[in-house]
Amino acid sequence: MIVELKEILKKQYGDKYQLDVIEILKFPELVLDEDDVIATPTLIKYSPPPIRRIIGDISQKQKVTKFLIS
Amino acid sequence: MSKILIIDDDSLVRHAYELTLEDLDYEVDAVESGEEGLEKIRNNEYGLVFLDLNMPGMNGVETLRELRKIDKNLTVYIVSGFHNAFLEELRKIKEDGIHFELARKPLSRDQLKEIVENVIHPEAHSSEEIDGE
Repeated sequence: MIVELKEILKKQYGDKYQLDVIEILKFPELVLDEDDVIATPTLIKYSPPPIRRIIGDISQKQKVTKFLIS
Repeated sequence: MSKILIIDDDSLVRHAYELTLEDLDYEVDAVESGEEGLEKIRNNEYGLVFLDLNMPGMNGVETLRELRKIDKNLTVYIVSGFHNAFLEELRKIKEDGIHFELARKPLSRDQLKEIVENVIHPEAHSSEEIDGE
């Protein structure tokens, strides 16, 4: 799923993006105080604003592209 | 219409799920044990399962192990706190190649709705603005 997501990001932004991936099972402390993460998988776009999230299959090109430009 | 299964020993939680999801026109089955959940899965076709982690008798992890013998592809959300103590057993089953998703407990009505609509209708989803929450 991350591989597909990186392909979508690369197509949208070239190399001008930063993607941080947190595996909750390995690093739960990183999301314990993060109320925006309520389920897996969650993709949060911090920039450009507004900050938004989607939950569910983040490898779907149409869905993620629409999300990135929202 | 997609059918959703709730497996949770807490009757208040089951009732809350049912109220929310039936309001959204989903067909919902809700049972109080892993054993009952497995029986439902053997006899029905579900689009999504919410499975409580901590239950008396067969817990969520044991239930998921058995569930995967019946259906490898069914989307299962394990509902749990995101604390290390809760997640240890889940790490083990993931290492065994058993797939699942996680949802944070407790889920509000809106959060439950957001998860269900994104999983069942991913093509029609709308993203959630969280700026300024």
